[in-house]
Amino acid sequence: MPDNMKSENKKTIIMKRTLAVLLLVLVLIASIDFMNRFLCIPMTSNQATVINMHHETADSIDVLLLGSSATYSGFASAYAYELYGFTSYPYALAGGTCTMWKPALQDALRTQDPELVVVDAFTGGYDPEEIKHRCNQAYTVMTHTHFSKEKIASARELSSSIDGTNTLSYIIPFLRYHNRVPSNLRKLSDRIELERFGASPLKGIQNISSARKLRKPDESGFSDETLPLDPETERIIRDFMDYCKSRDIKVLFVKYPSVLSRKHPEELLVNFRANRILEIADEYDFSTLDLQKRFYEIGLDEKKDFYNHGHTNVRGQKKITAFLGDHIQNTLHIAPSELNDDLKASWDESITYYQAYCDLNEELMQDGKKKELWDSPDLVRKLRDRIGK
Amino acid sequence: MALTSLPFALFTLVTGIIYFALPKKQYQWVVLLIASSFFYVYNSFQYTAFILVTIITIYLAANRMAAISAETKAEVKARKAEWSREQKKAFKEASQKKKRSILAWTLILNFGILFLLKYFNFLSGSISAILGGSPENAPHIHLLLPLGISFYTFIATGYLIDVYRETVEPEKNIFRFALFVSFFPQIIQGPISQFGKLQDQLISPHRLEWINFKQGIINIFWGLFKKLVIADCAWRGIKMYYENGGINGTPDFKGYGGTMVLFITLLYALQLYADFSGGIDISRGICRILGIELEVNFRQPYFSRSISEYWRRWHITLGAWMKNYVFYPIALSDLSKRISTSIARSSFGQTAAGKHVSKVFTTAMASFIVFLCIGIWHGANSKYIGFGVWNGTIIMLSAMLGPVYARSRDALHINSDAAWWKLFQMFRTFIIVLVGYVFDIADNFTNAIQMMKLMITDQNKGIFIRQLHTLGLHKTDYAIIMLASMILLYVSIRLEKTHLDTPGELLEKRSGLIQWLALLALILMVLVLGSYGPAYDPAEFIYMQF
Repeated sequence: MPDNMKSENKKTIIMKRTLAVLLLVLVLIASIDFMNRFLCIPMTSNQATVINMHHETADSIDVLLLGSSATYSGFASAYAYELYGFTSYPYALAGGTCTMWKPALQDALRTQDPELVVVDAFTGGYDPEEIKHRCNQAYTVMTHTHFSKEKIASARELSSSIDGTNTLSYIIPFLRYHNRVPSNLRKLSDRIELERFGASPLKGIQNISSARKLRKPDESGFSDETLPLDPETERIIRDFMDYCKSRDIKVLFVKYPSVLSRKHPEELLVNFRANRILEIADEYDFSTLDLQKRFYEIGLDEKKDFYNHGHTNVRGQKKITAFLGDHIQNTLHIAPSELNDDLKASWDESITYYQAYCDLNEELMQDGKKKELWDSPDLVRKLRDRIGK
Repeated sequence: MALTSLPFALFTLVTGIIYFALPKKQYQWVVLLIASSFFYVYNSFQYTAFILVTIITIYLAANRMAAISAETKAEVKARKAEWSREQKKAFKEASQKKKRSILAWTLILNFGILFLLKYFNFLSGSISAILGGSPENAPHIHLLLPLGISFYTFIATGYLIDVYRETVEPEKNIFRFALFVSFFPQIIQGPISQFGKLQDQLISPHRLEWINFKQGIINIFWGLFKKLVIADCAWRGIKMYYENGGINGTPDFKGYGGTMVLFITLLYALQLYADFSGGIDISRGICRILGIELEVNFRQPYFSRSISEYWRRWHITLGAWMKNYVFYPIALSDLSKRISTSIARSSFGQTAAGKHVSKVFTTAMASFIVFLCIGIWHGANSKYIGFGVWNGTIIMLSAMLGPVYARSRDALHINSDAAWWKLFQMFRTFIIVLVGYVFDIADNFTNAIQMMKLMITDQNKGIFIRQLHTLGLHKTDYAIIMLASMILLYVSIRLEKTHLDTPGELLEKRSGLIQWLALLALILMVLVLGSYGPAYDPAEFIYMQF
């Protein structure tokens, strides 16, 4: 074979091999991307909260609530809209701590421009060891955050604050959750459905249908006593406050009410640390509201309004929403949202759904059926049937 | 920097890029030396002095011995006419004595370091216990083991003995010798390479070849599959078993049933093989890409039909080292010959059995000593000595009772080529291997015996099913282990039938599309099913501890 043909053959072979390697890499990236989106993170209510938040129409949420289960079990966006006319969304994850405040806010700010951010101070008062080890919530938020400089910065920040995590795994959650793929395969259709469902009329609602008769809360739960924060926790909190200040974001730090007693001394300590967070918020000139101290003013009944000592059921939720909504509107002067016809129709619809949600909760409570009801396509369908749409 | 970690992958990638991009290919070995030095210092900074002592002393000793040999030859040649035969012989013997003395002192120094770091605490505790004291109060050395000390000591001393025997030329360049001893893909857990087979490859220039690249990548991912998908998943169950106190005879003993103990032993057999051979596959894959062929260390060991065959298939390079430097010197020593002769001359030696024993006794004894050494090499614990004694005894008895087995087989009219007989032999050998593993799993010799007793006397399916949940493995984990083991078994059978060494070589015979799909499937299986990530506490390679 002549030399020029030989070299041509060689070139073709090199070209073919390079293409094959590139194709293999592309298929791998596509497979991992698919698994990252649909198969890695376990299908939980937290996952739904974040995805549903992203489905909200851009620039349509005026009040954003950050926190944990106390936030979504204590505040109902649809009910607040019904009473006060402002739109809101509880970007709150079960077990969430102060480490997720900033990444969650950054994530929300990509599409929303809230007039007020309400932060649950209790989530910063957890035991420092818990804060250092709770990483699932941060992973959930980071999984859905788009790649950006801010995301890398958040990933670095989170990996230094949360033990046993690393920067790369926040950017590629597959590194952490890859072994969930086999067990999540059977939930693939749920996951795809949630992705395709669009904005939910339930607005991130979540609660448990139960009313536990609790003992009267201790006086110590209403005290102003403070406990110093762990230096790392305080650093995270101050960093969040600096971030809000630098962007001129209006923030309200709240403590959601719970039935505190000496039976749960660790909760009392969390409360004292949360008091310290309110003090720090004062330093920064942020608004604060201690709903814990307003327990009776809100009208809460420890025998009817809680499903456990730390969380209100729909009955308590309505009371807190009414009280907090009033504060937001009348003290912080958040006016009713100005919505176009479509948005208005969808928020009006959410009022009907919330009413159906409350009715379902009440029925289950009367039947003694304790059930977790969170914002999922399944629940929406069920309520739609009840409403008769 | 574990072999399966991202930093190691990046380190290897950077080394590979520099290695192949270097314009002057004759200096590629310098890249490997710098990389190996960096790797060693990074992983075992505080113990670098130990490997340096080994490199320097063995380099000097080897070159001194070679110089003595050269001087002797020159002197003998120069005085060829002048000296009588006896004078030449005496001069040669004197030179040999000098060489032997250098060899002995260098070996004492290097094995002394190994002994001191690895066995001193065990020996001092044992002596204290024998003298009625407490092992805890015996003098102890508080040191961790330098990375790969057993491997590099064996690699370097093997070379020294080869130079003494004049089967290899000594390396004149100390830096090249340092590369041979510290070569990063093999320092963690072997294989124990021979100088004659590796050194030329290390210093020769290499270009990136497509076939090497492809085979290397397949080998690396096959190794990762074994390690991350099988070994580490199985390890989670074994670890839980340890943590639950399943092997302790202490009062808080949780009481695992015999079936569970047997299951754990089987899981351990799977994990150990997947872990060790997986690590070797990764090392061989990296070397293959660099154009260097490391020795094969595993050849489907669980398909062995006898325990001696098993040891020719498991950790082959350690077996080869032991054969070359322990077995032959013992079997061919004057003492062995004298023992053989005295057996043959005794009245027992005149019988048929005696004749056979006199022939095989020295090799059987040498095998026993080799396995005792292998046991001790694994660690300073009575359980490892038990492990060595068990394997040595089986091999010794196999050699001694060979004719009895043959006669029994004939009497039972067993066709030794029949498939069922071969399968039976494999099964029998596997059981013997499992007994050896019990010594490995147990805390000490006494617990090993307790575990074996439990396996025989306490079988309960119901308890086993219940206890299966206490291992912390989910249904998915068991399914993954099963699926991956099936793939491993299939590939092993194919390799056995085709007499090939790697799955890459198996795939080479298939179409390009099948090769790419297989590689894609392998990578995805590692990525999806493997145990890794920030929340995962990775299990170190078991043989890293040796």
